[in-house]
This record gives sequence, C-alpha cells and structure tokens, in this order.
Amino acid sequence: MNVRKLLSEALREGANEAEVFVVGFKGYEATTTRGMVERVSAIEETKLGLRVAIGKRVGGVAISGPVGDLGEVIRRAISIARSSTEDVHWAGFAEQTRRGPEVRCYDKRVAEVGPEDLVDLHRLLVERAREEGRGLGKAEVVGALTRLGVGTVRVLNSRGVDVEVEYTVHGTWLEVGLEDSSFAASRVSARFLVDDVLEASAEAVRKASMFRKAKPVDSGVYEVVLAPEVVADFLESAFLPALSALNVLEGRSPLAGRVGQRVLSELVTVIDDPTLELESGTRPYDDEGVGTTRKEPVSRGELWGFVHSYYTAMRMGEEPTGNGFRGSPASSPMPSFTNLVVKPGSGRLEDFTRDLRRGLVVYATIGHWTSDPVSGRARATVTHGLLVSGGEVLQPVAGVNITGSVYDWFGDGLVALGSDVVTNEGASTPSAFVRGVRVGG
Amino acid sequence: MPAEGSPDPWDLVKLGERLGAERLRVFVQRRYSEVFVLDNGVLRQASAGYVTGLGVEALVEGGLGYASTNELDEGSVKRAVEMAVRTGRAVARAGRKVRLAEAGPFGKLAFSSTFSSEPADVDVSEKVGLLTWIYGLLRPRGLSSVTVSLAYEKDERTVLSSTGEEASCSYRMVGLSIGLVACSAGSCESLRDQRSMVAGWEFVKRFDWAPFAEELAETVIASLRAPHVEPGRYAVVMDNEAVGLLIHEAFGHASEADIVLSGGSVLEGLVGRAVASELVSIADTGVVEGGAFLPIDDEGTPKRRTSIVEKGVLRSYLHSLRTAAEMGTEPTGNARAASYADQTLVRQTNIFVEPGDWRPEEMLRETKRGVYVKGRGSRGGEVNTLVGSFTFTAGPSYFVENGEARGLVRGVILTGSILETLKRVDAVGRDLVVSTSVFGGCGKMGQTVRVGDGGPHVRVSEMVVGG
Repeated sequence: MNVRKLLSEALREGANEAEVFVVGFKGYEATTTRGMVERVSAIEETKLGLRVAIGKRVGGVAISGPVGDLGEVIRRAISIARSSTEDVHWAGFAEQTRRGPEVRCYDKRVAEVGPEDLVDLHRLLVERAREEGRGLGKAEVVGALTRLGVGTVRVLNSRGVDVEVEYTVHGTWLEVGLEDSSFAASRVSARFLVDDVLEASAEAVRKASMFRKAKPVDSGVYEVVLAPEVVADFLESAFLPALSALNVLEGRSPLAGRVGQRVLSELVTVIDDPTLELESGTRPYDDEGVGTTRKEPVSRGELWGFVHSYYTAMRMGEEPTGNGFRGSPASSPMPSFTNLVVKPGSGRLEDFTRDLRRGLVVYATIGHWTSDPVSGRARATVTHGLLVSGGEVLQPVAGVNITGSVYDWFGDGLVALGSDVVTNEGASTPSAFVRGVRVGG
Repeated sequence: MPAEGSPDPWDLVKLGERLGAERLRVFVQRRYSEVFVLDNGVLRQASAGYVTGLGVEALVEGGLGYASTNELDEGSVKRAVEMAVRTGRAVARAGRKVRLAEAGPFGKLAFSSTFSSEPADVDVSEKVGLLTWIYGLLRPRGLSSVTVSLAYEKDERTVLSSTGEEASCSYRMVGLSIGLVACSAGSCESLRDQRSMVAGWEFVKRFDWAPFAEELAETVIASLRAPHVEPGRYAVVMDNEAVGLLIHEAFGHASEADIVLSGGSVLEGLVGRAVASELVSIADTGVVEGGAFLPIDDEGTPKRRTSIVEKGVLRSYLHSLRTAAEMGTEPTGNARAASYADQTLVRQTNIFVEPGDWRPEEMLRETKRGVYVKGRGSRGGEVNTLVGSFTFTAGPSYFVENGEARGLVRGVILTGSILETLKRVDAVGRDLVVSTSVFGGCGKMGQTVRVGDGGPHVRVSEMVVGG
C-alpha cells in the first residue's frame, strides 16, 4: 500500500486536508491451562485509517484487509466528511511541532521469539510455580497467556507529518492455584526477559499462600493499605481520565478550572513519562505524529495542566503534549497517558501494615475499572486482602467491596506513599496508606 | 464465502491436510461498521470501517495451532496455513494433546438475521441529523456534557471444516447510546444508556428516542442529590438489566468449560448438584428476542439452547468442540472468537434467567428493607471464577423500606459469591427481557464479543452492597 499516493489522491479527490494512519502487528500468542500449553497462534495484520477534512468537516474510513479500489475508499471518506457537521474548533491535522525524544521501545529479544520458544517459556513457568509451591502445597498454573510481537505505527498527513515507530509488545498474565487459594500476576512491557516471567510465576505462588480461607469482614470505614498495583488501578480508572484535556473542555472532568489549585495530597506527584526504557507506553511520537514529552500534570498535589491531543491543545491555546492516541485507525485521537509514574515516598507496604490499628491490606481486586472519573468515585471488590489489627494479620479477606472518592483517598485521606515502586503494564506506582475507605461486607 | 481475490478456502483446507493436519478449520470474516459520535453538539467521530480477514486452526498430532492474516493474496494465506500447522506441531511437541468432537454432520448451513432497511444505505446526514435532534432535546436541561452516539455493524462469518461442514452466519446490529454528565455545587454524576437491536434502520426509526433521552436526563440530575448507599448487606430486588449482569458474571463465566477444565472454576465437579435456589433456571441460547444473533459458533457448530441450571441444579457447562471431547459430552455451540485474528474461547451467547411467576411490584411490596437495583447506567462487572467472587455496578437505584421505594441512591456496587448468591434467590418474576449492545460486550483474555443477557426481575434475600 502506497500511503503517500493515498494521501495525494485524497487531496486530488477534493479533501482540503488528509491524514493516513497505518498500524501493524506481527507476533504470537500462547495459552496454558492446568499446567500444560494448550494453544499457540500466529498473528499478522495491518490496519489503515484515512481521515479527511473538507473545511471544518471531518470524516474517516478504516480498513483491515485488502484495500481493493483505492478511489472508492477515498470517495467514501470524503462523502462522510461532506455529510458531517462542522466543528468550529477544528484547527487541522497535526503539525510536526517538535522531534520526539530518544526512547527505547524496541527489544530485539521479542522479535527473535518464535512459537516453539513460547511453548518452552510456558513449560518453564509451570515448572517454576510447582517448584515454588514445594513446602506450601500443590501449586499449579491454572491459566497463562503470553502475547508478544512487533508493532509498527506510521502517521502521515498533508501538513508534512511523516513519522514511523517500531515497538515491541510483551505481555504474560498468569493465575496460579495453590490448594484452596490462588493469585494472579503479570509482566507487561516492551521487554522480554525469561527470568522476569519466571519470577512472576513464583511471586503468584508466594502471594497465593497468603490468602487461604479468605472471608468477608464487617461493613464500616477502615484504614486501608493498597498494594502498588492496586494504586495504579484506581488512579488509572478514577483519576487519570480527568486529566484529559478533552474531558476538561467537554464538561466531563472535575478538574476543569482548577489549574494552580491543590487537588490531591502534597505527597502526590503524577507524571506522564513516555521515555521510560522498554515500558508499555514508551513512544517517541503519539498517534498524530506529535513528539511526546515528559510532564507533571500534578506536582505535590497541585494541578499544573492536562494532557493534550493536537485538537485540544489548539483549542486551549497551549502546546501539544504528544498525548493523542487512537482506539481504532480512523478514530479521532484522544488525550491519554503514555506511562503513569507516581513519585515514591518512603516506607513500604509491610511498614504500613504494621502501622494499621484496624484495617485492610488490599493486594488485588476485580471491577476497579468501573470507577467513575467524572464523579471521582473509586470502587472495586476485594479478592485478595488481609484484615489487620494492631499491626497483626487476623485473616485473609475476600468478598467485600471498597468505595470512596479518589480525591479523598489520595487527598486528605492519604497517610503515606511508599518507596516500594512496582513498574508494570505502563504504570510505575508505590503502595499507599489511606484512611476513610468505605467497606461493604 | 471466499474473500475477494484470495484462493478458495476449501483449497486451504486441503493444503493443511497435506501438510499434516488431522483437522483443519478455516474461518473467514467480513465486517462493515459505522460510528458517529456527537459530543456536545460537535461531531467528534464519523467513520466507516471495513474488516476482511482469514484464520486457520490446525490440529496436528493432537496439538492445536492457529494463524491469521488480513493479507489475502495467495502467498499470505498459504503462509497462514503453514504457520497454523507449525504452531500446532509446537504444541504437540511439548504441550497438551487434545481431541475435537464433531459438530456435524450437517453439510452446509447458512443463517442471516432479518432486517427491512439497510443502515449502510441511509445517508450520513440523516444519521447525524438524528443525533443532533436528540442533542437539541437535551441541551436546555443545563447538563455539563451530552454525548450521543450511533453505531452499526454488519458481520459475516464463514467456517469451513475438514470434516466437510460449511456454516455461515450474517447479522446486522444497530444501536444508539446517550452519555450525560450533570454537575451542581462542585459535584458531578455521569449516566449512560443505550438501546441496540439485531435489526436494520427500521429499529432506529421506530424507537421513541425522546422519552428515552429525557428520562435519562431526569435520572442523572436527580442522582446529584441522592446519597450513596450505606455499605452493608441488603435484600436486593434487581430489574431485568441488573439480572442479566448478575447471571453473566455470577454464573456465565464459571460455566464456560474451558475455565472449568483449566481448574479455574468453582463449579468444577458440581454437575448434578444444587448450586442455586430451586426457583432459578438459567439458559444460554443463540437466538432470542432482544439478544445477539448467534445461531452458530465460530467452529461452525449450531448453537443449541443449553440449560445450564434447572431448578437450582447445575445441568451443563458451555462447550466448544475441544471441551466437549474432553468431557465426553455434546458440543453446545459456544466456541467464539472476537475476530478472524483470534482463537476461539468458550463464551456465552444470550444468557438469562428463565421466568417465574412473581410480579415485580409484588416483589417490592414484600421487601422490608433493601435496594431496588437498576441496571441502567451500570458500568459492567467482573468475576474471579477461581476465588468464586463476582462484582457489578448498578445505575442510580432505590432504597426500599417496608415495601416502598424511598429514594434514589447512587454509586451502587454489588459483591457476591458464585456458590452462595444464587442460593439466596427467593423470588423470580414473570417479565423476561433480554438485551444486547453494539457498543460493547463481554471481555475474556483480551477478546470482546457481543453477548445478550437478561431475565425477569429477581430478588436475592441478601447481598453485599457498597456505595
């Protein structure tokens, strides 16, 4: 597919501006169940999006598969644009305002993995879990999924943007059963290190041993220690969307009009960092071809700004921040984070646990993504927790829900952030000690 | 249905067999979709999507392999067959050897959903005009944000098997979604609802969108003043939508046989045992009014109505050809893939609670203290089938005292146990409703598929409610 030709043909057919977005992926996936590799698959696909603007009317077409008649595709996009309504705020497709930073988002070890290697990896992580289980009970990998491969993104538009990024993707998710307990772990980034994946397997077994015979606790208001991964889950679902400039502009963010004000505890600094080495969100350019930047939207609790797509930056009269990313090839880029980083404090989860007079330590939940960033309401059901009194663990906990305002939890209710950072799935967060969490049990 | 310009899929089946596959399945998909999003009066998105792709599953020496491509020239599709055989061999070498049951013999099957007006032929200006009209209805309400979306998809799938069967299925689904945000005195609430149908444009033309939109606006504005429900254990009366969420999360996933066989389901080994109140019967079926259109699965197996629970007793899991062979039972037509690029997993189709004989108003009248849980506005649910816990959220709901709804409550989240919650069902209504959505679906191992779910009103004598 000659994407330059597609662009020039779109302009020739009547578009005032045009943008082509091509995303490709080539890789493998392996699934293990009950301790044995069950399936391996090979994936290879390329998807293309064409967006055109006629004046301030924008339309798009996405194609996954053979393009066929190029002219027909272009005419369809133009027809959609012509029939659309005008966006008075439309400032055109992105201009290349700056070069992207030097980042490392490609690990050749990922590119060298074949299907036979994935089978071997899964065999090893099953063995590792069984080994770790010796002395604790019968440990088995109930399920494991590895997906890895090489992704490519190319963006070009009629304003001169032409960038291409190649990156690697590796995700291994696994769940281990240990007698009457279980735990899930993952390793998701751009890197592939066998030892790291095996350590995830061992870690899941060790954690599973902590939650045998879990029961609910009484309803009430508790002090809660959140494990680093749980901190990432709640910030990503209940807080980060409020930092999207589009949500601010469109009345969907409680942070609108609050730049310069304290919105969280002064213990909290939230960073968007596209430069972390070989992490999931590491990129030199966003999906509009704008160079990414490291930024601190929240610094010691104070709101300094939002994350932008090109459209929102122009609308707010600000510099684009390189945060325009797409869900599908012909969709409008939406402002979203690259990698979330929360600056660590001091202390560790174990220290906070010892400081609990009566509270919960939450290691894993389900349903955290149902939290509402518009209201700031955080909520989830705890699947792996501990009830602690006077610093001593009384019992494992499951089957309770926790709710509250994310602005309280990480605001006046925040006692401490730990130094025990865990970096995984595009987030780098420490544990947190929070007061005033509502528990339903 | 061969994809244009590519080799005949039956030739690919023969190629796979020549390369050593003892079973081969070729899966071809074509999908056309449209999305229009009007965001506070601005058309945020207006796009059409075309997907064409091919997947090949090969059983080689007992190992299952899969490969897919959306490059449909002869070289690429042949490479896909070769890669499917290679990945199957890799599994056979060091992984689990499996058998596959036979879905047939049924020869050639073809299914197509019905419609009278093709949405793709409706002019974009009419579609955008509808969204603009709805926005115009809501704008004077003083809401902070109004998002109105229209989505349409036409999905065509064909499955060819080396056992000689060929099955194809085509459906059209269209829907409209409204998302609202209301703010007052520094506090904001959001609420979203949608209506979708397996149908053509005639559904959109006939549906009365004005009261749907206006009622949603009234509810989100009222919810601003509503308290959060006090966390605790309550009797819970659930409406049809909430029951659908309950059954999908509380039971549906745990009854998927691939999860059962992996050792990941608390329902393992319980067929024939009481797992719910005897008032509860749960079925999963491919075609039902209001639901998704799934008469065959993505292995080409005709979807039978599966009685998962009958009067409280677990009767069956949901099966693929692999799980049916392993468990020595009949396949149920529940092997589904999000697209040609994905391997099949065992998935629900349309799952619902069978109706009983209570009237919903009777249920409420006989509830001393509880919560009337409304599914509209739910953000979804999740389950951990190994721990045995599930959760889902509700929209603005009502606190019930002495048989009367006393006031709105917000932020509702429910927590339950797969093995305990359904045993506490003490009333099942007669008002069965099943619904589906073109805007989302069910997620499992990174794959999202369309599903339907629902039921009549149901009361659970005790559940953990948070707010």
